[in-house]
Amino acid sequence: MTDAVIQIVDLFKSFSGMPVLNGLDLEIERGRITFIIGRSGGGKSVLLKHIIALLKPDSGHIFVDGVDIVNLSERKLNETRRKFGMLFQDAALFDSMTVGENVAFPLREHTRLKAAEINRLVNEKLGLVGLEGIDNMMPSDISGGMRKRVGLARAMVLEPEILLFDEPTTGLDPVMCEQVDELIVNSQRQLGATSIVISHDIPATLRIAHRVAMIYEGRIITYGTPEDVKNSDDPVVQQFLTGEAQGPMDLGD
Amino acid sequence: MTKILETLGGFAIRSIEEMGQIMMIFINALLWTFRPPLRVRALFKQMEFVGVNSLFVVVLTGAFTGGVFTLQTYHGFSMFGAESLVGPTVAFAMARELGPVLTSLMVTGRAGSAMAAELGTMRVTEQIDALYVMAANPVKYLVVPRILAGILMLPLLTVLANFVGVVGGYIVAVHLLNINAGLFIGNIVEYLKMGDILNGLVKSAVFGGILTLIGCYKGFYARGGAEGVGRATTEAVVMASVLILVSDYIMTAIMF
Repeated sequence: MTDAVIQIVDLFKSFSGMPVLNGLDLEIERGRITFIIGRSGGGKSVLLKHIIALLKPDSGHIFVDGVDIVNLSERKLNETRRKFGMLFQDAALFDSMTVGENVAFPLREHTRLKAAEINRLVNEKLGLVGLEGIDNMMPSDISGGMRKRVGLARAMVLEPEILLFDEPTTGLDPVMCEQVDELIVNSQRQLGATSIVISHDIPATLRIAHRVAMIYEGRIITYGTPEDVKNSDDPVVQQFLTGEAQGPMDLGD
Repeated sequence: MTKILETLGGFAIRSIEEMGQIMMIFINALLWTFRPPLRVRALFKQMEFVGVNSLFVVVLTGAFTGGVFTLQTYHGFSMFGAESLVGPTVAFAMARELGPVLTSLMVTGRAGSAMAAELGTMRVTEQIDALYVMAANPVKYLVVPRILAGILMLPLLTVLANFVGVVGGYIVAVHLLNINAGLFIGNIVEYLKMGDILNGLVKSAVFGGILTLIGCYKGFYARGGAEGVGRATTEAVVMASVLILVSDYIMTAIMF
């Protein structure tokens, strides 16, 4: 048996009658990079929000380190959440704070570090995403790609055990994409972090993922190493990987 | 017929649901208020926003309300030669009713709407989710400082509105209507009791709580992008204004 840090069991969720997750099962292995792929609007972000308990499932269980987080009290939930860092799809920076204050926020909330030490860590993390020296700017004054990288720095500043990335490279230029991918790989290699990445970048997925899971119609239809997925004989998986408009995939209405 | 009942029933269910959500956020805010640490910086920032930044509009409202009320009272009182009572009547009205209510309505339009818009934007851009993810409770972080600021600042603004209102009344009465200045001031001192002012201040503290709570509530549960934020803002102003007027009647009936 593998060491699963997150176990998702029979998860159901629907929004105003429309089922999005339909009995989804998934195990995330500790210290690995798992990519989740699937159609836009197919429930990938919804799944990620369940993992960090921003959404409550209609039924099913989510175990983080063996603790079912579905019906946890807020105090207990916050303990669990401290294991996580998350990058939101549109970065979700606090627009009333400067870039530096945004990255410092988790440190101020959860550590007793001195201001100088916080500054050092903030600059170090901003340096990692290629943005040193912009800590006094406001989020509204920088580009979308820069905001995303600041969000990345904020997610990683506490060096959490589990990192969730909601489309970390969408909207970045090719060189920056490469750097962000490298960042994900390095955080896993150096810190042993578990990463869950939602991505539409199939080549990057096949290159850096340890495990790939594909969501289709509210379930995981394939799970395995990139090799397994590439060699899958499921026509839906093959259609998605090659990006053909014609095929068995139900494109909905 | 069934159609009408259906509509009424739907309305009732939505209203009860809404009341429940408001109570939940209120109780949550209450609990978090007494859980350390108190966010002093955030509180001061909100006090500045609700209080200091409302000074101009409150002074303007107070002065003109006092002035026009003096004109109207004089019009009536002069018919039976009671011009000497214009002063205390204006002071009563300002302290007990017009000061608290008009100040609160102005601050609702200024700060209550802004709170709904700000929290609503934070909701639709996932900033509130981000707070949850970073294990920082958004009720404590966003709602508590705002409600406290409302409860603390509204009485102060009301005192100012009362004072400026009486000054406005004085200017109109003494300089335009030629009422004796000593009579105007002397009768206010004679008839206006501390209790009148205090009751008005208690009311204004309650109004301050209402307008910030509703502003936060509407923003917190905003949905549907820019349009949703706009709707939340409008609804916050309408709902807070109505609640202020209704609770004003209830409190007046109990206190006086």
